[in-house]
Amino acid sequence: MRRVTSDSGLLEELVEEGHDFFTGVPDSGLKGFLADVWELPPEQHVPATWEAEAVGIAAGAALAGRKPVVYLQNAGLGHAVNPLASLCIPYGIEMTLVVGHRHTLPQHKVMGDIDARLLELLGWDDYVLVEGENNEG
Amino acid sequence: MRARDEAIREILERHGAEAVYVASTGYVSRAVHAAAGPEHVVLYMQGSMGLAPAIGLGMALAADRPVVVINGDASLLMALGSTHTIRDHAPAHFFHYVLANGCHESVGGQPSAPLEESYPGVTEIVRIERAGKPPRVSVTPEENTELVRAALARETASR
Repeated sequence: MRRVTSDSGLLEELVEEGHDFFTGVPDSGLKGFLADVWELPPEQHVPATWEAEAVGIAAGAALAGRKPVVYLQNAGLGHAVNPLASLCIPYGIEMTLVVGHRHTLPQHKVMGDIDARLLELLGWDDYVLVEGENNEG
Repeated sequence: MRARDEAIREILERHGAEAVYVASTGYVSRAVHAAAGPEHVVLYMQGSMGLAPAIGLGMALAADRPVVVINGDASLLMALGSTHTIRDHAPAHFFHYVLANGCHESVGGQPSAPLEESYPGVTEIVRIERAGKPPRVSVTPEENTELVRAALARETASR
C-alpha cells in the first residue's frame, strides 16, 4: 500500500517495477498519470468501460504472464470489489490498483472516508492511493 | 435450439486443444467441465459473473494462443460494455460464444431479458435448451490457475 500526493512520475515508477499492462477507467485525480498512460503502445494499454471489466482484463493479462495495473477513481472500487473478492483473491491473481482518492464533494464523501479501509477489509494490499489537488474539484 | 452439451462439444471440437478456454459462471462452467477432455485447457471462472469476456480479452492481448470465451446470455447482459472493448481491442485469435437459454438457469431459471440477434464482440450466439444441473467443477481455483498459466506461457508452435 502506498499513499502519494501527486501522480507525477507515477507511470515511470510503475514501469520500473516491471508493470507492463494498463487498463482502467479514468479519474480527474490521475490526469497526469493518464496522459502518460495514453502514450503507451496499444499492446500495453486497453481502456475499459467499467472498473470490474478492467479487473477482468488485467486478470487475463496476469494469467498470461503480464504485470498489470488497473487505474480507477475510488467511486469505482464498488465495481471492483466483486472481481477482487471472487476472482483475484481465490485464484491468486495479482495486479496493482492506482486509485484516485476523491473525498470532498457530497457524492464522494462516503467512499472518500472508507476507500483505504475497504481495501484493507478485502485484504488487498497492492494499491497506490493518489491524493492530489485535482481530487478536490 | 440446440442441446447445451452438444453446443459446447461443437465449440471444443472447432477450436481444439490449441486454444485456451474461459467458461462463465455457474452451469456454463459446470457443463464445459463435463464436456471438456483432458486435452482442453479451461479457466472455470466460478465467481465474477459477467467478466469471462474481459478475462479472455486480457489473455488474448498478452498471449498468442487462441482464446475462446464460452459465456451465458444473462452474463453477457451484465457486462454489455465489454462488447465494445472487444470490438475495439480484441485480436483475431479471440473468440466469444454466448449460450442463450433465456434465463438465469444456475440460480433457479428466472427469466432474463431476451438477446438481440447480434452484438459487436460476439462471435456467435448459440440458442440452447435448458439442460439442468451438471456436476460441480472438481478442480480448485489454485490448480486451475496453475494449469492456465502454464498453457498461456507455452509457445504456440502448432499454429
